[in-house]
Amino acid sequence: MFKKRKLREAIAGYFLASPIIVAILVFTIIPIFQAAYYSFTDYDALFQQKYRVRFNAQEALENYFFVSPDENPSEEELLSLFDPVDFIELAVGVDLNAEQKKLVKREFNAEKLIEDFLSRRLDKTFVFSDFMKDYMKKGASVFAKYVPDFVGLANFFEAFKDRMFWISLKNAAVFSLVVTPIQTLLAIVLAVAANQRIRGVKFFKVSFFLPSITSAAAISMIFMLIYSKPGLLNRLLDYLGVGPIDWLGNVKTALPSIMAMNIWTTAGYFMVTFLAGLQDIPTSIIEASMIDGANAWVRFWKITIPMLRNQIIFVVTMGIIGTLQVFDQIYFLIRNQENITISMYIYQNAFSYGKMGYASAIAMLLFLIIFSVTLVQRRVMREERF
Amino acid sequence: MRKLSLVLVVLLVVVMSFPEVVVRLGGWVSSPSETQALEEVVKTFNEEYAGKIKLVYEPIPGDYKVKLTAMLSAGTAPDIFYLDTSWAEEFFRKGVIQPLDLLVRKHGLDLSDFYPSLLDAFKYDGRIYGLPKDFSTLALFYNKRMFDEVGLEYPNENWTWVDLVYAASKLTRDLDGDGQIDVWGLSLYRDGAFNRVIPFIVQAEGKVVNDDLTTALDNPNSVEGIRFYLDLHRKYKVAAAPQDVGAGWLGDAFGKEKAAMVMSGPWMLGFMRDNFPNVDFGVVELPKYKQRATMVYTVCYSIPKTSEHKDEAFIALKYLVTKGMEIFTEKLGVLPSRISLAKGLISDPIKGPFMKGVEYAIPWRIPTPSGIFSKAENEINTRISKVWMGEMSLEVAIEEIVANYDSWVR
Repeated sequence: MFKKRKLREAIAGYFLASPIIVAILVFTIIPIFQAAYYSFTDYDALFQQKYRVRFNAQEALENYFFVSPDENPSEEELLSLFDPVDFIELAVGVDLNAEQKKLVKREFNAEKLIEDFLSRRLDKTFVFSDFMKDYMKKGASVFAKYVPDFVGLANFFEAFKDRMFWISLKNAAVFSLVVTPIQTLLAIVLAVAANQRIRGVKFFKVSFFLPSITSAAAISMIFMLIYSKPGLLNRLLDYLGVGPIDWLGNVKTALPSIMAMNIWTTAGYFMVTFLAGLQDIPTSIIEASMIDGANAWVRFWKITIPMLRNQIIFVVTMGIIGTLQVFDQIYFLIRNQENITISMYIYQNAFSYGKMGYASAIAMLLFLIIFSVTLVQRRVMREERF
Repeated sequence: MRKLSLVLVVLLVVVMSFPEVVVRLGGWVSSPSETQALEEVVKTFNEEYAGKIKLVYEPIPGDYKVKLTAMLSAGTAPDIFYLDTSWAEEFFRKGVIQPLDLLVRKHGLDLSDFYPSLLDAFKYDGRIYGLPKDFSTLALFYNKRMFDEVGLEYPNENWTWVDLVYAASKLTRDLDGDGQIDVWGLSLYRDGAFNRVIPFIVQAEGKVVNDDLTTALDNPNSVEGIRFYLDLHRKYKVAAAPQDVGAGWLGDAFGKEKAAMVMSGPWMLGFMRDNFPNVDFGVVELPKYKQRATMVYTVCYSIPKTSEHKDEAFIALKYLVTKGMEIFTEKLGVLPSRISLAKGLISDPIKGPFMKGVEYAIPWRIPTPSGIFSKAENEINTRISKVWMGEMSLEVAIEEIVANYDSWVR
């Protein structure tokens, strides 16, 4: 009885959670495994519909033979002229590899096709894979679905030899090493500031948080104006007598500019985490330290920071993962190939260079890097339970 | 009630016996006025082919090439869509685009009325994969008031590189005497500039690729062309990039009168009319050197091999490049890709220079062994920017390009 109720409860629970389970499965879990598989292949998305080519077989044959059934050509003559590989490649327009050519040469039922042609049974639209099912004696399953060629570790070896892979990886690493500590520290400072009992503190909380909920595109546009040569930043620098610098155009300043912008946008987001942590610090500890004569500076370093240890671990972990994957701001603002980060390079390979397999391989490498960095970091900074 | 149901049944039978074939047309969204004109073409087509073919326009916003790739691989691509010359060949080579030769013959369309250079841009392996929608070439825009101020004659079609540098140096001025240049003779792109450098390369009788598809950028003539483009900024100091004068792009720099001349396309015309109606400007063909050259940018309509209604799609495509092109030319002022429609435009003072350019223009399509030029383009652009900013010498840039080119286009 009890067991049955528990089972019912479990079914209800999974049923209610099913939308999110399905969504995660379809949009996260399965793609991860697919990407892992594609990283060992020469997968090209454009070939996905390779065998779904549609054609009118009657027309294709008429154009292939330069003759129509009305002219009563003899079956033997047509058969002697017919080459299935030529027909498929030229008249239908599907390219075959060497193995497929051999298979088609051996198993294609030309007699049946010519017969149907002469009795005009072909005047309709065929899908290539179905057509092959009809006219191959054996082995039509090869043409049922596009299967990318397995290339083993070739994509990974290519990455190790690829100069751009190393440049973009280095950029992402530098980005992460600079941004993560600064954004964490800044987030703590902001949280402490926002935790003060002063007038108008809500206004500051909102303004600190605002950048992280503004769309990356909008922020990028604003910063493009700030960083441009006649822009705001250069106008301010002009008062200090520093010549105008093309922040985003210059190879040396472009990435640091994006880093500064990234810190500005993410610090407010992580502030919320620290704010919650600060509210957990018992006032008794603070009061005790004040009685012992600790000033604000000492209290910050000796009490606030150690008490926020768990939050710091969380923020640093999320920060490293986020910065190693930074994409949108790079996509919007970086025009120079020397300054792109690794996720941008993955995107370029996947969508503009037509190398989906290679892009998947780099994505796998990035996954391995993030995974091991997080693992090491968890070893070094163990979470503490009170 | 019975009568009504009878009417409905009859109506249903009528509808079912004349099944309308739906043909989907997809393209990127460039401007509201273009969308409007396209919708009008679709409307007139649907009126003419009512009951037979229904053309549905489905704009594809955002990163067009990425979205089209996804749609093609999912099998949901429209029956007709745009392809741009600069990357169309990638799609031709992957076997996803229907060759149109047989459809052209079957449905009768006179290809000799199209500009050959535009048709060639969409040929691959001897077959034609798309029909040009319209085109744009580059010409020289000049600001009449700024020329008057320095007492120079307006540019004409016989201008050479020497005239260009001379005029640009006169037009580059420090207006308020603070030691900073306020207006420039020219504005040129610094980033993503390679396609703007190509006319200079060809004007110097250089070329971009050799016959065996290796890079020809180290050819002395090619180097001369690239060097001249960069020297306009580095040596003669008469050209600034748009972002250096607080402009988003060349048209912006020209409209704000920060530059007296720019080399740009007919897309500037609508922009100037809408945003800077008070700037009085003229247009001439690009200056020449050893020979004339300009770029032609064009877009075609193509049909995917997986389309279920290729014949109907081609009928619609044919309409788009005949009647549709007439409407576009009239409403939008685009440059028609068909010679019969272009006749009156050659003598037009503003559009004429663009129309003349198509005779000797080079399509923006660099042949490579893999059909993909985008990686090489990114790498070359990066080096052009670096040389422009003085972070790299042109010699080193060319050396690096030659050394790595093969790995970029493989």
